[in-house]
Amino acid sequence: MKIGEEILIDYLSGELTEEEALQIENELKSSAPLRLQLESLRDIKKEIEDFDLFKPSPNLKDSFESILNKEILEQSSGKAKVINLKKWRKSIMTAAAILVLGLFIGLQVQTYVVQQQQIASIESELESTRQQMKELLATKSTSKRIQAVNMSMELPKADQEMIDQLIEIIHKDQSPNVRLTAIEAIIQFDQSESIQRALTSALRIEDKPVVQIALIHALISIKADMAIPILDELIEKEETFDKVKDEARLGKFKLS
Amino acid sequence: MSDEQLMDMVKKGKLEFLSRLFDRYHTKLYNFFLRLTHDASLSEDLVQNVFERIIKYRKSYRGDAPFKAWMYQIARNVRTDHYRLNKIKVDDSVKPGHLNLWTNTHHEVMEQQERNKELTQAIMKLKPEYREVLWLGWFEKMNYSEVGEIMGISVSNVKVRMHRAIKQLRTHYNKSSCL
Repeated sequence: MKIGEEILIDYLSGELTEEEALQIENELKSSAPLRLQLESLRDIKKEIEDFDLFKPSPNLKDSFESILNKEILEQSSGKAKVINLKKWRKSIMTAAAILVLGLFIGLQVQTYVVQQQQIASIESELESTRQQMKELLATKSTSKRIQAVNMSMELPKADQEMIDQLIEIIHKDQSPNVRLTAIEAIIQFDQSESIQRALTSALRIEDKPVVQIALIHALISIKADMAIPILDELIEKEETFDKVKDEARLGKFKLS
Repeated sequence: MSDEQLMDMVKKGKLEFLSRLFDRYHTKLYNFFLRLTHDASLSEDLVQNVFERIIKYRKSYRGDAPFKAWMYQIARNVRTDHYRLNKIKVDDSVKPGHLNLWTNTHHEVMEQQERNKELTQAIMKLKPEYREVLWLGWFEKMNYSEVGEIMGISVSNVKVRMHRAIKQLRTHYNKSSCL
């Protein structure tokens, strides 16, 4: 067997049969140049095996834990729980309305008070969630901002301050993932003209294709025909990615 | 617990066991992506996407398959999808002349990494498919058959890529103490 570099590489990788490996070992005993060649390859292999690894930022772990906890929560209570919470709230509101009406027709006052307390308790819980979100949104941690935006999507509604924060995230956040989540969140809360304007201006400055596409989809879903001139600009711009141009053309067609 | 036992628990709904797999592999995966994309922020996003997919597709994990091979298959798909969505050719992902892993984000590990610098830069000059074969074969110590399964190529093809990778690496890597 003629022993070249290829065979030595396979030998070091443990890819030779026992018989072949034995042949190499016998040859090595009598050939100094072959031993030198093998040693030089072994050194490279050793250096690769002993690579010092770069450490990712702590944000990666935070972000993973946030995603995992969300999944664990969803699994244990089911997505239905979130939906049920909303339904429950609506039911209580309805029940309270019935009870208010019941007061006028002489139902028990005590029951009405209990129901009002329950509503107040839910409202207070929502306010606490809003507050917690605002604090997370104010931090510099990317993972915490993702967590905050995800939390916002579980609320039945958002106040103006929260909407303003989401708009700011869509325009200024450095992480495309956070921007994408915020886009998804904002259109579920509000589809007014001011949101249409905010998303249109975000599309004007956005440079990540994946976020540009998400913005175009969002603008289509909220029927923001004011975005057509920006879509035209994207279509015309030489540096726009082809996929984005395709989505912009489709958007223009749907909004026209 | 082995990787496979942990993943089996995750598959059965004990999601908290995924934290241990994350601890075992997120740094290696990050470095795998870093050497392929040369972008620290993108590499973190891709690692996150890998674990999101593991959560999403946990029920499709076959208990008899090595977890590491399955994870790297997902990692390759995540990276391919990223470039497909952004219409970037994988071969263009690392531009010549932009081969500097020791950017501002890595000052703190600069000294620690200095001795790897020359070898890493030589590796970065290889084609992505050669970098992958080297990483999986020699860093992750997988056999050619496992590497072939992950990369979707035959064992003989892995062999050819490994030989070419080392040959080219030796050309770029002129470390007198070794060669």
